Amino acid sequence: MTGDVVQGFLQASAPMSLFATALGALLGLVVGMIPGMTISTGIIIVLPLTFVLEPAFSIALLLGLYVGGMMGGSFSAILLNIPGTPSASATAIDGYPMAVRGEAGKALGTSIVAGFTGGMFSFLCLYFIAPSLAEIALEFRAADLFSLVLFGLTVICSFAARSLVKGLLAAVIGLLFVTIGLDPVMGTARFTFGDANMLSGIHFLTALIGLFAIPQLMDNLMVPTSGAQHGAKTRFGSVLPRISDLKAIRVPVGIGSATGAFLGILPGVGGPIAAFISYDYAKKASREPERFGKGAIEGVAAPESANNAVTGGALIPMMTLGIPGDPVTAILIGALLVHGLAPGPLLFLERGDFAYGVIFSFFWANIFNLVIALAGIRLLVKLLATPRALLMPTIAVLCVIGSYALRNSFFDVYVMFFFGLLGLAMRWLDIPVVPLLLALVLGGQLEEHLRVALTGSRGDVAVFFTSPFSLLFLCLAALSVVWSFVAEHRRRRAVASSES
Amino acid sequence: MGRRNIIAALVLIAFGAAYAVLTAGLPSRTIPNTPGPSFFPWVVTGSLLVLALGLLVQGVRQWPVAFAPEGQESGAPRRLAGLAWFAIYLAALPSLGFLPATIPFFAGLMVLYGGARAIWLAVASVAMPVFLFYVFRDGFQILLPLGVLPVWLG
Repeated sequence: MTGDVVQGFLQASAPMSLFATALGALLGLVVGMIPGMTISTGIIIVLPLTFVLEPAFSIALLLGLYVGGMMGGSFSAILLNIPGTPSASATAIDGYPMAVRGEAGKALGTSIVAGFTGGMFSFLCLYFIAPSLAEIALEFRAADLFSLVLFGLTVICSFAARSLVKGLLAAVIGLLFVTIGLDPVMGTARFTFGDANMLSGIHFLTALIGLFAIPQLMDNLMVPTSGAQHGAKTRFGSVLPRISDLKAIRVPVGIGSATGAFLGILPGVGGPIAAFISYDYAKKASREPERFGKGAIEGVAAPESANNAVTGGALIPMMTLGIPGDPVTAILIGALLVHGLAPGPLLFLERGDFAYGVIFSFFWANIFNLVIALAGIRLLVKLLATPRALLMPTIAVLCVIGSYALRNSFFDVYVMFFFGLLGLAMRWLDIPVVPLLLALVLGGQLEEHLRVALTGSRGDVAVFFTSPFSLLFLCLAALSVVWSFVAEHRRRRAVASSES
Repeated sequence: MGRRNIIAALVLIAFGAAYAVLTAGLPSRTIPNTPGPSFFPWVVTGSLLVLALGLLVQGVRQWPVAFAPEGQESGAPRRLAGLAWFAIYLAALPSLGFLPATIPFFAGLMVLYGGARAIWLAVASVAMPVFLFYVFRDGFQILLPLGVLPVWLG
């Protein structure tokens, strides 16, 4: 194991890896910052690059982008009161009032330092928890793995949607698309309609590009401005936080880091929920809660440390169990699969050096993020004035290149566009796309483990209830569904009573 | 939202029924006591139909609201134009090739996104596709199609 750790560190610290991580962090800060772009869009932009890069460099680039994007979202939240990413929504509550009263630099500096602390805390969690969890996961059999994947999917459905039925429907639609192509156990062609392109099924990266990028491109068409923002002209003041500021934010940062890392581990929770929960905790823990919402520095520190801590937390189930916590980690799984590397417990066993390389790339991503953000913030915010008329068509073309590059096939481009239309329809119907995407990632495993478990038990379903791990995951899955149902019912009653 | 729920539920029920018909055509079982290739699609079909019925019930329970007229989103024609332009581009891409199809596509999107100055529009809509073409074709060895362009350009 020590050899793997050293090898992993050397792999992540190789000049090309460091360059890829730094480039990713810079791109992430930019895409996270620009309203109308998300981390997923940023990843879609660099996706064609990752197909031709070495796996270690690809993952370093993507991790840099993930970490940078999470931090970049807070810049526009503070300067413009427009969160660059959903995770930065809570940051705007106190960040923007600070900017309005001329403390934009202080708010930005706090968000950078708090984000860095949260990211490094989650790195430590990743470093210490992931290998142990992978060792436990090696004991899992097909029935346990099926129940685990099912649990992951139900949790995602519970958190991702306002309506549980819609969340589950989205996941089932995703599973339906998974059944296209050769079946994973016997290799029988299913729903291919005699088309050779359909035999290899729907590649989830093409679906991802369509589901996320096309609706976003079309939404940006609804905004008439050409993209120039007034935030670039905001007065900054000093960006580096003072000692007194650091003392003031230590408790909120601690709360945010712990909350974010823990919630990041749960599939589907993601940055926005972690940020708002930690904001709430920090407010309750404060001696002057009345300052929150009026430009309290603690109100910036808590959500920023939380949403950055989510990144490392989300990597834990991805690396150890192969279960993505959010769309970005789902893309990371896809990027690894393209290179023939399957995240999961076997990754630590068979390619321990690579697994630790990913962990250390995450460490470097946080370091570069801090350095680039602190040193380049004044320059970076000028990019808020990038014309939408140039940015959006470029993204549209990159979507086409990205989906074509996967297999040099126009079929994938058309599949991408189909999923774009599906994404628009789902948005119109208020059905979330995240469960669909994660079902596309996990559906193959779900079917394979289900069928292998049932084949092993000669069709006896008791196999899912006799294994303690499987039983635990099934109980947790049922609990998440029941909890979500009760929460939805309460919400509706509250709305009905407030209306009456 | 109630009306949309009902529409979505009916579409999904119809889709689920069609999927069930296709699933029935799959080989059901090849080895005794083991689930065959149609097993998982049946699970998906059942789940889809049950959940779509649940959505239908939700929509019907919101009955008075369900058929209230919904306001049209502002900017919807621009969005439709964008989608149509994208579809035309994708249809033309295989025969025209990357550059001849992408340059007008890029220019059209720039107009839709509010790019007004003609010189800026002309320069960017040529320069950006050409830049992307050579970066990905020569830099990253992604064989973007030449189409109608002469081979020496690639």
